Amino acid sequence: MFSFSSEIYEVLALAARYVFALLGVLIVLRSFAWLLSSHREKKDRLRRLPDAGMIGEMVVLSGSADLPENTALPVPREGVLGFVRSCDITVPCAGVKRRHLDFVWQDDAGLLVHPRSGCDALVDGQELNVRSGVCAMRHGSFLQIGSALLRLRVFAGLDPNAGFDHPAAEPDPAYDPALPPEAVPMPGPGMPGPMMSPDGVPVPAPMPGGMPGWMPPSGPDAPFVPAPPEAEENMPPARPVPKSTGWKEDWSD
Amino acid sequence: MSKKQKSPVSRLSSVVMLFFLLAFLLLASRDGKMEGYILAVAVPLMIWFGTYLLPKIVPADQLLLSLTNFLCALGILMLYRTNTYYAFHQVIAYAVGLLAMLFCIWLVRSGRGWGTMILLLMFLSAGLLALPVFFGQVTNGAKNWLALGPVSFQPSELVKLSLVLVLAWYMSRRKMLPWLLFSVVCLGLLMLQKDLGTALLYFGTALLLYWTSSGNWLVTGLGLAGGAGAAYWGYTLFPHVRRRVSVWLNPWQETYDGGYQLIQGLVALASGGLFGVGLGLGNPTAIPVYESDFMFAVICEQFGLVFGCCVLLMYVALIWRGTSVAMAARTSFHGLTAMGCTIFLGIQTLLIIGGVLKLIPLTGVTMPFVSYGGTSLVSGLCMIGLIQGVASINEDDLAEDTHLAMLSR
Repeated sequence: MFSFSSEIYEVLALAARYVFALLGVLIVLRSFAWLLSSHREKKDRLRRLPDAGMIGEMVVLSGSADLPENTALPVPREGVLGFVRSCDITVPCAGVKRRHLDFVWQDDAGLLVHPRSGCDALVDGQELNVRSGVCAMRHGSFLQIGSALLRLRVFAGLDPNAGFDHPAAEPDPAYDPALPPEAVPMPGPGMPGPMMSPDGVPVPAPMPGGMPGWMPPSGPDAPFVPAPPEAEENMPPARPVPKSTGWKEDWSD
Repeated sequence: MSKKQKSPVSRLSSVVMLFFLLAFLLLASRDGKMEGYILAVAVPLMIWFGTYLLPKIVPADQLLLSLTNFLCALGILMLYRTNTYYAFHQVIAYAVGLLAMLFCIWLVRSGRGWGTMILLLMFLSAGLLALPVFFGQVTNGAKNWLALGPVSFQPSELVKLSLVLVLAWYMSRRKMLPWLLFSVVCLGLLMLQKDLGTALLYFGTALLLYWTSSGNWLVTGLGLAGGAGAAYWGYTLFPHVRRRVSVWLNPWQETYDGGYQLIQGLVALASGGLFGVGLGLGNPTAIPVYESDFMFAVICEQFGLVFGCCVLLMYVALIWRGTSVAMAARTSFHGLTAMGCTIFLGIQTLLIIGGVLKLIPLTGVTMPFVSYGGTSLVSGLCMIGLIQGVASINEDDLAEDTHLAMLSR
């Protein structure tokens, strides 16, 4: 095959050094331009879709000066809830640890929450700690950690009763406002517990079809009351459905 | 009418293809060998296939593909410059690596029952890593090679994939004991093989990934202190480690013995200057083990420090992209998998280039995608495949969210 003499090759190779250096710089510049443009594009897309990757929000019923009532805290598909800003859900309230509990949404189980060591919480009145294991929350469930009381609102499109045998709209047969808290029977496995306020007062199941704009009275002494029927009219419009990843991972695997 | 703007992929790939076409043509015109002209056509074609066609077959991140293809092709070019046999061997490994990458993308996208698979991987990997302790071949002081007939490979190169998956799985489930146990077993077996460079790589990846998943400074700091203690223990226990450190501190003391390789590498770096001695000129083969340990010195000698900095920046771009893929992931398992692969490649690059530049002692790990070595290249491409799989899931999620947002308006 064709080849140059060694003298001509040397001249060519010496000249080509500058071409290769130039091409190398050009490759780097174009790579970084691509990186930056895709970074900008991603930011724009996320600005247009603020709920992307979120499964719902935790509405603050009782918070603190740093976390006023009715604040909606976006809930990602999985993450950590705690006091510090690096958590996926930051709850700056007394009694909340730096990293208080882990949570993960599963399409067939709801929002699974698991407190970390030394942390406890109440989910719909059910006490939860590191020994009691994982507890599932669904649309309308209450979560109390420290002095904060939060209520889960699942975005439209996701199954609000994921993993539960009966829909949230059905009244709890065990519920009787006349009964004292200790008389309310404990839930069986896989069944949601009767909703209890932080003070141990049983509360009715959440509103059907989504959490209305109506908010129950909050504060440490405020009792839970059912939402009025007209509250449904104030329901916020449906949100875009965050996509399920399709991963059926077993949290306890 | 305005001129149609080129897409970023064609803007980058056209320059990359031109670079390798010119480089291989230049080398082929030196000795007039047919293989050079074949590679001058084949390598740009492989880049075209890897960057344009592959994403049409499986969803993949084109920038990651472009960067990886550039580095792989650069490795083939440098090996062709120094040893034709190595270059063709590397081309075959590159083709196998692309297939392995496709498999990894598929695995991440459609994987089910990870729990069982991870458990199986743990036992298989520990077994595989234990084999060289009993049946291994000693190369450069480490007993880390296995020979199965005509094929020989380093089990630690394959086990690194398992390590990342095991770490990501158990860290995403907040279970510390299984991954800690697996890491300790792997590190112990690597210490028995005297493969301290890979042990350092495994340790660094586990520690950084733990910090990424938990943000726990205290435990990370304790781990770092433990690692420093183990390094000191290794220094006092193994004579070859002490020797490497003394060579690193002053290679000129043992010019014709332990320090010869490092000195030749430094000479190659210096003789290359800013723009190199010219492709095909110079004497890069004077560096011992140039094909695996000192590829960066060979690149700098042939193309110069300016191009060497460009190669470093390409690695930075790769790590940046991997990190952004990990951060965009919606499940912590996917995020940690992508992050683990990125951390592994980042530490590996840092260790080998730092060693060549005499910033740290030489560890004997390969330069990702560039150094000669089939197992290393295939496992590196598998790691890119895992990142690609996560990137494609991220894209699917975002595309569907965009679609649903459009519907809701």
